[in-house]
Amino acid sequence: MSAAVFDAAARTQALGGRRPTYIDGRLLLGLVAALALAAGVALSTGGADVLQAALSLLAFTLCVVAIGRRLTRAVGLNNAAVAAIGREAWSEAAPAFARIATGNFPRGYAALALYNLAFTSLQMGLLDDAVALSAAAVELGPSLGGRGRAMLPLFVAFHALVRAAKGEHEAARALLDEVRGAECAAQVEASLALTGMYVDFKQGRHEAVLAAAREQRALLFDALTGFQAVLAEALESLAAQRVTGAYRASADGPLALPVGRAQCEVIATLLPEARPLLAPED
Amino acid sequence: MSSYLDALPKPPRVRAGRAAITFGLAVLFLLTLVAYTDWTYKRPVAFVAAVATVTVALLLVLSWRGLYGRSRKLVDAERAMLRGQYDACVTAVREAFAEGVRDEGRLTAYLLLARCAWLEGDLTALHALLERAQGERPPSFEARGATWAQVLGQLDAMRALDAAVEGRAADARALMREPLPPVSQPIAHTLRYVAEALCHRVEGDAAGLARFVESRKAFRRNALTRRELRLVRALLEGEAPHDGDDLDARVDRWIATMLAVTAPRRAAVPA
Repeated sequence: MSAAVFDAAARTQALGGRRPTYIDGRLLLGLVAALALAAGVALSTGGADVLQAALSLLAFTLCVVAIGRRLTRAVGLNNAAVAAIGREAWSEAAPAFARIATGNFPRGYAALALYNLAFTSLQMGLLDDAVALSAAAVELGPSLGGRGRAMLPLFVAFHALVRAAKGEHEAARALLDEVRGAECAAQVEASLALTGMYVDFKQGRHEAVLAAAREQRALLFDALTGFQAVLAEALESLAAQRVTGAYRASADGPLALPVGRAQCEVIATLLPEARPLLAPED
Repeated sequence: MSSYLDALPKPPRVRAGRAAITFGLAVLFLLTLVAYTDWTYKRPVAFVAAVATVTVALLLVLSWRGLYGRSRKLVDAERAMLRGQYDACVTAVREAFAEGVRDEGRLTAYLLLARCAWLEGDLTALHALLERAQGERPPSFEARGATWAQVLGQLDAMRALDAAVEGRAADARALMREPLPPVSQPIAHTLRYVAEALCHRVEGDAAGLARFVESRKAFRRNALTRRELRLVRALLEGEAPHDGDDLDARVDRWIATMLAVTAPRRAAVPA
């Protein structure tokens, strides 16, 4: 685990000097298994009495209940904060995610919270913070369990996106190559496709952007939301403009999606060329 | 419609059958194991504690495998659904059922099929699937925990959507009266948003729809997909968009279906 990555994350506005802290899920499971094993061994060798056995059973049950409650708490906090993102209440969402990231929750939830914090930071115009926080999410990601492995490409897609926004195109492409072909959910696949299109656009490969947009059209249409959907639309329109000299033919117009002032700033940060296409509705 | 319903397995006859068999086997195994020792008789409470501990551990391992093993098929199904490959989604769900997906996993599978039916505009299948899912809804005491809450929140949101497209706006609103539990996934909020918008359309309340969309502006631009955004815009404008390529044409046909089935049931309220 790289201390420098977590130190950088701690220096962000969202974490305010607190380093991410988490409980390793495997450690917890190991503890529970050890308790059960100890009880079994003690009993089978005849070295334990009734009280010891009962205490072992109680401790085991308490561990299981505590893990369950902790997980439920993390899910509740995370989803409430995601709902706040839906209201563009960034200042409400960020502290909730920070609480998960620094509150000794299971590792997978800490990683997800760091990713969400990175996303929120970007929405608040803090690109450097988004880079640091998403790097921490990626750092935590690889050693997660089955569910964590499925989430890792999402963290990587976002980290690559913000790295590319800072001009680190080769690093971004290398990150995407690392997770190419990984098994992941459709929304994650769409994020990877979007980041791939973004890096291609930044490197001037406009034909590749259009090809990806054609190939992944259904996914980009039904699996992306918010600024990602707008970014996909903008990339496609701009690439078409570069290649054919005209916007993609559409009755909707090139950027028909509703976009807020804050979102406009985010898109313009990532893709300054798109600024003329953006008309905030508020 | 038939392909969605063909994917459905028979309803489970005994909900706890598998768990009971596992528990029984574990106890049998331990009894055999300790049959050669004599401490069973000297320390009966300790013996019971050991049996319970090992059995709970076994059940945890089994449920863990069930949760993360079989649910991979459901992830495949969702991926296929969002790629517009509805047949592949049905196949993946059928495989998940064949592998024994159960409890909230079964409801998740029904919901995936229902979302396919929704995205294809097959409203008869949508209704049948949700009826079936509702029929397998467990009593509230069984449905504890975050995963259950997520699935049931999504089920109710989809039932509200189903009621709205059937023109039963009052039923839809009744299903959305309670706020979603805090553990709910974003999709449940999105489905409710769309259901609410469709209810306004069914009621012919153009002004109410405009107010609703305006009041949830931030949600609309952050949480809706391009398809949903296009539907909401069509609801606001009262007519389906017309566009060029294949996918857009398919989506436009879908929107036209939604507009047709939610045509106002009573005199329009002036905007």
